[in-house]
Amino acid sequence: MYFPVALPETMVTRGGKSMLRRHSLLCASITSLLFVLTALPIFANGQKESSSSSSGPITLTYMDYWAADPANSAMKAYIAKFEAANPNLKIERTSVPFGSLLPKALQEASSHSLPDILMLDNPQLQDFASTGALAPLDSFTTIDKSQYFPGPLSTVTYNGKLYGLPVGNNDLAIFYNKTMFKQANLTPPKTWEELLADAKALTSGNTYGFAFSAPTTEEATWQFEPFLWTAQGDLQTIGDPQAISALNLWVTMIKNGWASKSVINWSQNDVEKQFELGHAAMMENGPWNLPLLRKSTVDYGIVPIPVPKAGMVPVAPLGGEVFTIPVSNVNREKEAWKFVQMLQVPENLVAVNKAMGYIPAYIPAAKQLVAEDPQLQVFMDELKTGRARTNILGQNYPKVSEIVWNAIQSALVGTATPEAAFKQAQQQVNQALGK
Amino acid sequence: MKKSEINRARSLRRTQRYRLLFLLPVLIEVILVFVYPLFNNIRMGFQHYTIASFVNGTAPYIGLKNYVEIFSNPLMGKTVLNTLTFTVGSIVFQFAIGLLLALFFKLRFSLSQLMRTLILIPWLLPLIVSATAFRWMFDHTNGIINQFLLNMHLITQPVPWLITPHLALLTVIIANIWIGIPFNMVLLYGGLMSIPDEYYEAASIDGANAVQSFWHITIPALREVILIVLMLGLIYTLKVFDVIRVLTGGGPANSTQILSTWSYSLSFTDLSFGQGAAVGNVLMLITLVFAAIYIRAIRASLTSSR
Repeated sequence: MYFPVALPETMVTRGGKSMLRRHSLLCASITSLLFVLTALPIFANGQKESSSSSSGPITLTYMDYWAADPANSAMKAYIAKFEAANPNLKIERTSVPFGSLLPKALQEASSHSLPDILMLDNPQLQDFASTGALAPLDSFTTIDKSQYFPGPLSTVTYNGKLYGLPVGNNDLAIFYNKTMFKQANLTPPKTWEELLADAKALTSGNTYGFAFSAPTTEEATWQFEPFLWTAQGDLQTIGDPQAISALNLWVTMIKNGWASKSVINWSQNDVEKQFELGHAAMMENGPWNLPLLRKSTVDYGIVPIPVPKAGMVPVAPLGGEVFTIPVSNVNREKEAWKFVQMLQVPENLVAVNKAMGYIPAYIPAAKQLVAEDPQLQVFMDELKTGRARTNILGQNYPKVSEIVWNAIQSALVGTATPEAAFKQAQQQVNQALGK
Repeated sequence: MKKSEINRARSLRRTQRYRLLFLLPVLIEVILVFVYPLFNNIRMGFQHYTIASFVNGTAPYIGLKNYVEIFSNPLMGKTVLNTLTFTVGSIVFQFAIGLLLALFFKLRFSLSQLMRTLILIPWLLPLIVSATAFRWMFDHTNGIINQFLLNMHLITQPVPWLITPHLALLTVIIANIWIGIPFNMVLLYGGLMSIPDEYYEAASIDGANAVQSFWHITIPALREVILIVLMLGLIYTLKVFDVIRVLTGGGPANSTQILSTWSYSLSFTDLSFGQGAAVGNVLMLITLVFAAIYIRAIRASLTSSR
């Protein structure tokens, strides 16, 4: 914030003309010179330090957004283990807040100073891979794709090639308060009808039957996707009846007061707090909440996402992060690959995923983790039928997601009916996709 | 010309050169930190800028296409309207309350110094902190504001501050007013203190009451300060970003989306950096218009008051 400055008199009234006016030609030429200068990529080139070949340990740079525990400690432990096993390599880690990763990565991309290992939220990989900034893995190794869940593997695949490997994945399921269900003599819901009935029965006083998250961010689309995809709707066909029926489910909850109106301002963390405090009998959330819930006093159970009709299969979106190797020079990339590769050893995958409440994409590790922690069974089953968000839309996903979450919000606050909201969204989606 | 005149002209030019030299470090800093990014943004408005542009530097010029797209976007009208409502609503009340507080503190009672310092707190707190606090205070079910209003029996149902489209804009305006009051109060108080007491004494001798002396002495004497406060407040409010980003993120359903938040969302959510830059340029133009009015008004008041 600049302090208010009144123009000093001398600048204004020097013999009738201001100093600026007298040097107007000079100012005009500086201005045009600057304009031309900005068109030149003078400031666009930074140099990344080339690795010293034989004089001491190589320092690999690594960036993620896991500044908070438990992920932070889990990563620190893995890095310590890696450095112990590779004495000639050191990892220099930078952790930024979640929202800052993409801007920082873009800034580093333009100055050619991307880290040696870059962690990305899995929908972001498609964009980066398409620019050629990431090194394809087939230059280091061949991966046995059958050992991985197909959904998570598709998040790291671009144009048929692998550009990274998942650190871990998560999806969404329904957590329910066992105490409340026992008291009301109810069984956890399997279908949409049962979900609505249970929510209705359990709404009383300060407690809402159901809680989900629908804020003005990707979280809203993410939370909506299980219901959308299970109903066999999709984002690019958001105006179709299946999608509208999914939105209707949410709108019914809000209209009848079985879910709080505040969901449009709640993040998934806020939803977890509501569930923990007993303000919600059921919540839609992911496995990363397990470390927190275990510390609380809630007696909770987990069931898969309810289906519209019995016999259908829940389809959940795949969250989670991936490790990628930005392009630098072949030697550095090979060393960086070691860091990515060592994580895929089941023992390491299980340790990291367990701490973060994730599930490994590598099937043997996933089975091992679920054997140790049976509460993850529901989430792992959904992983088998889970879908990557960027599957069909690729780089258009962020734009379409924003259109959809705005439409969801307008239906939830009542400014539009679900049908009208999604029909308008369909028009906008078509425009965004250039149809 | 006589020799002494030539020498005087030469020394004047030398003084001018020294003046320019002193300005040089500041000029360089302003150019690098302010002017260069500004021109960059103007240029980006004419380019198709995507993630690929960051990596490869390829950003083809597409003329006015970005501007056509943002102006044909139905969101543009809504965003401009929100921006105007937000700005006018914030300024009017910030100024009024700031002026009232400044007049109040003119009374110089025993704790006035301490209280005046405490009132600065909204201005000193990082915006993220105040905005996050407000977010939870205004929460529908758990917020302290609704609890207070319910307990005082002023309302029967909790008010959905941040989750209803029309109320959400009002709520962010309230938060912004709270944040902006200290700035107005401090400047107006400084202006008030510089009005000589003799004016008021003379007025009371002539039989003027409080309202008349306020209207005919205080306000005219404060004219320049009022101008500064209003214009700068206007320019700062047009740029507000953090408050809205944290309180509502621009929602629900774009009801609190203003030009600054929309520009950010276009760039970092949609990854259409060219369009984001275009919206940013539109905002800059609007701000420039007000800045020009401000400079002209200051110049006019300076020359007229001599």
